[in-house]
This record gives sequence, C-alpha cells and structure tokens, in this order.
Amino acid sequence: MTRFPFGSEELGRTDPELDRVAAELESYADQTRATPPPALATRILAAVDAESDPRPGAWARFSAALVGLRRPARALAAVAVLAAAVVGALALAEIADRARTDGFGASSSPLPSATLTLSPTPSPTPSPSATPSPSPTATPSPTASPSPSAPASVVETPEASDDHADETPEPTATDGGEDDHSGPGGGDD
Amino acid sequence: MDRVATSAWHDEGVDDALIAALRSGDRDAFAALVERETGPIYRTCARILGAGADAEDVAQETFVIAYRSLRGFRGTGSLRGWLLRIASRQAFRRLHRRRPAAPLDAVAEERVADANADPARVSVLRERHGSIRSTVASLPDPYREVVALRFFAELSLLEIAEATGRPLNTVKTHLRRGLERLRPLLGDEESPS
Repeated sequence: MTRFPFGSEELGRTDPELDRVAAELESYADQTRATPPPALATRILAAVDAESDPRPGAWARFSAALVGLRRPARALAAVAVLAAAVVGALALAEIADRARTDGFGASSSPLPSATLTLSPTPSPTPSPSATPSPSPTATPSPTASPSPSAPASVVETPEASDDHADETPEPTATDGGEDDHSGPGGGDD
Repeated sequence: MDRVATSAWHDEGVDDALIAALRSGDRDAFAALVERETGPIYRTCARILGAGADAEDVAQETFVIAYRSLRGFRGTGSLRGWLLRIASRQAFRRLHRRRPAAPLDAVAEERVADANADPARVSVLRERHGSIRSTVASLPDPYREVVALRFFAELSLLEIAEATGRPLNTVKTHLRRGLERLRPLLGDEESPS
C-alpha cells in the first residue's frame, strides 16, 4: 500500500481518467516493493568512508550558520557584515590617507622641493602657490590649482559634482533557490 | 555514538538533530541516515531501473552525492525528500545511458514469479512493468520528476514541493500534465494485476 494513495481531487478536480492512470502507477509500485540486499547499507557506508571529509571550511560554516538563522536574524547578520565591511573600508582609506600625508615630503615628488619649503604648513595639496591659502576649503584635492588665486570653486568641477559617479550598480538578483544540490546539492552535473 | 540519539534519528520527525550532526561531520549520524533511508532510496531506484545491480549502484551514488553536498541541503524539506530527488535523477540518468539494452530486473521478476505461478501471466507482468518504466522515463522534465517522486518515491505533493523548491500549485500542475501525457500510453491497457 502506498504512503499517500492518489486521488485526482488532490489536483483540484476530479478526473476518473487521471485516477485510472494513477491506479496503474500505484499498482506497479505495489508490485515492485523491493527490499534492498542486506549488504547494501554496508557497501554504501564503505563508499562514503572512502570519500574525504566534507566538513566545511570557515566561510562555508559561516554561510551555513546564516542559512540556518531565521529571516530577521539573517538580515541582522547581513547588516552587521555590511557595516563591518564599510567600517573596514573607511579605516583602510584613513590609513592610506595618513600614509600619503606623512610620507609626501619623503617620497619622490614631481614638484620641485623649493616650492615645498616655501610653504609654511605642510599642505596636503601639492599646490605650486608660494602663499598659504587662507581658504577654509583646504580639502586635500588631487587636482593642483594652476593659478595662485584659484578659489575653492575650482574644486567643484562638473565632474566632481556628479553625485552618481560612485554609485554601485544595483546587484542583479540571482536565483539560488531553484537547485539546491542541489541542491539537492548533488545530482546536478 | 549516543544510542538515544541514534534511535531518535530513526524517527522521521527528528531530521533537525540529524542534519545538525551531519553538518558537523558526524559519520555516525551519516550511518544512521543510511540505515534509515536505504530502503526507500533503493525501492525508488528499483522502480525506475528495475531491481538489481543498477538500482544498488544508484542507491550508493545517491548517498555519496548527498555526503559530498550536505552543505547544499537548505533544510527546506525533509532529508528523505532531498535524497529521493537525488536518487530519481541519478536513476533516470542511468536508465538513459543503458536504454539500448535495458535488462529486466532479476529481483522484481522473482517477486512476480513468487506471486503468480502462471508463467504466461508472469511474462505479461514483466512486459507491463518494463513498459511502465520506459513510459514514465520518456516524459519530459519536470513532469517525469514529479510523477516519479509521487508514485515511485511515494512522496506527497507537499513533500515534492519542499524537495524541489517549487510552489505547491506548480507541482500540482506538473503532476496533472504528466498524468495526462501518460494517459494515452498507459491507460488503454488493462492492468494485469
């Protein structure tokens, strides 16, 4: 006897023709209720023992832990990972910025050293200007101003005002759910 | 290994503990899984391929694949459903590889012979069984998979939906269309049972 006897009503409508086909399949299943040979389980275990240990690595364990979490917790964990990544990136940028600032005079600069010695303060901007700029907008700009009287507005080039230049494109949604081997992990090759 | 846990793993309802143990690399847990599921897996393979060496080979392959890809198990359905899906896929793959010279299975024939002494009747049954196997195998996917999981693996529609990750209504549609395609191929003949 099959575990779940078929009735066409489970498909949403009664259909004697489908019931007849299903009855034939169920009859076949009943007549072929084969039992495995006693040694099969042992043979399977021997084959599995011959496999290398599939224990996952650190990243896979982390991913599996994420998958195992409930949806809100998973979202929270993802946000935490994202925040950690952002903080890390900012820290790296800060370190890189400091290193550039500190090591500017020592490094081989394309500018003449005389220009640098005239500057009263070590400006991060490699400006050829001999006078210190009192402008409050003394942001470290990678573009050197060609004129000594260049106002802060020079920094605001049309390219610089393009707010979308650094936007990350929307990630494409990938459907990882269809096949789990598959999902079912295995079986798909 | 903890005997209590092992016996608990034989209960279909405690997949969670078993899955956790499997994911941690517990080989005893895998042994318990093999012990619990070899019967259904082999039976499904035998219904697709005919009982015998091929069904045994595919049952073994199923567990090896499962062992390698435990990380791929999302836990959305039962372990049995996941294993049976792997098994049915592998079995159909094997069937297609050997199709030109598909032998009838020895064990199933033996069962038929035990149940029905009349040689003529046994012969008819053998032929009928071979015809059912090849007819179901000739269905295109996903109808073939759903029909096999429903009737050969004896899963409910809900279990199939969970194992395949498809919506329940989609599974119903696939099953209905699969049966409709089988109707002209199977329904005309009188079952010899």
